[in-house]
Amino acid sequence: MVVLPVCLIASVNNQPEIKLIGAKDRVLPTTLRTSILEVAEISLNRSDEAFIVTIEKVKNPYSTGEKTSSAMAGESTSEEFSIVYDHASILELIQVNFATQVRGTLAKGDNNYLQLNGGGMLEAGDSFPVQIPQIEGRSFMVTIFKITSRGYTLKMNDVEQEVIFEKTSGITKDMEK
Amino acid sequence: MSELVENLKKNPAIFFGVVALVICGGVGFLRGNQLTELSAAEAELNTKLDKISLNIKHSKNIEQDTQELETLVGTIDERLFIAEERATNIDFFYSFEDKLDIVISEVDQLEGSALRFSGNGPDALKLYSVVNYEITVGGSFHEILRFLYEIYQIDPIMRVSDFQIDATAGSGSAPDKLSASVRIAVLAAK
Repeated sequence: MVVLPVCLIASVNNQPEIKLIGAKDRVLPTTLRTSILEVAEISLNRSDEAFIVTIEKVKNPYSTGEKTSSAMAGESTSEEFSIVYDHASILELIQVNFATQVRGTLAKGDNNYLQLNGGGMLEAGDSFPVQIPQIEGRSFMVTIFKITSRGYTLKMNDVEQEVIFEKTSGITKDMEK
Repeated sequence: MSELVENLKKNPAIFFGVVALVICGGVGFLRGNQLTELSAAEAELNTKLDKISLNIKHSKNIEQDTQELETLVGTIDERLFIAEERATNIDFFYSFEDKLDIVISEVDQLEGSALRFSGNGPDALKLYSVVNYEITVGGSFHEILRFLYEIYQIDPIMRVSDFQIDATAGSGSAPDKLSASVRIAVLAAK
């Protein structure tokens, strides 16, 4: 089962912020009162027909009908059935999922290890089977090809995918020298 | 001494001048503290005057604004959920099935309010409370988006606080059907 969190509503809510700061014996400035009333009015009347039109144009990211239909019909004349996963795109998908499980790298002497969120560690040369929801029923063997302090490289068949940590992520610790 | 008295008698103006000077000095000495107090009182009154002037300036159209605000508060009060009316509240969410092509399979009214809205929470509400619902809704991607939009713009004041989609819910004849778990916080009467 794939459960994907989605954040939607926050993008719609763009009313100005209200800052009600002032002494009790002061009358709120007219501009602030007007602003409060406007925000209240907007919040109580949120209907936006243009947004409905926008919704209709949003592409369904969970669509799975194309491939199934293609397989059943046994033909792929339509443009929507033209999604082909080659090794590079499969490895790209695997990398995206795998990156969320990687905490950083750990250096022990001359060896670098990949530190996983669950506490496990992988070293260069380790392989593991991976399944992706986009291609059901198939398993792919991925190898940790290289690990450096800046990132790591995944390899599947003859395709490599290098992942460089962002500045704020990844942990590198020199344990033994 | 007698010469001095004689001179004063010859020039009474000097005499009265000296007497006046002595009286003024005495009065000044006696009322010195009062002067300080009065100066402080004057400064305080000037501050109050400034406040009053500013309040007068800001009071323009205040009655009209107050009336408008009362109307808006009345509108909010009309739209509040009543936590005790569970059946009515749950029926409200099921009514979306008539409006949209979705299936509401579960509506749970959760007990208690989120910490952020109560007590010393960052969004603590003094006048209202919040009732939370966990709703499971099935439909196409666009219908679920429409459902979220309806929640956003519907009269009762509510917002989606958590949202998850199960992309594998669809199967067989309806492969594009999704199942979404939506948590909704609704403004309710205290």
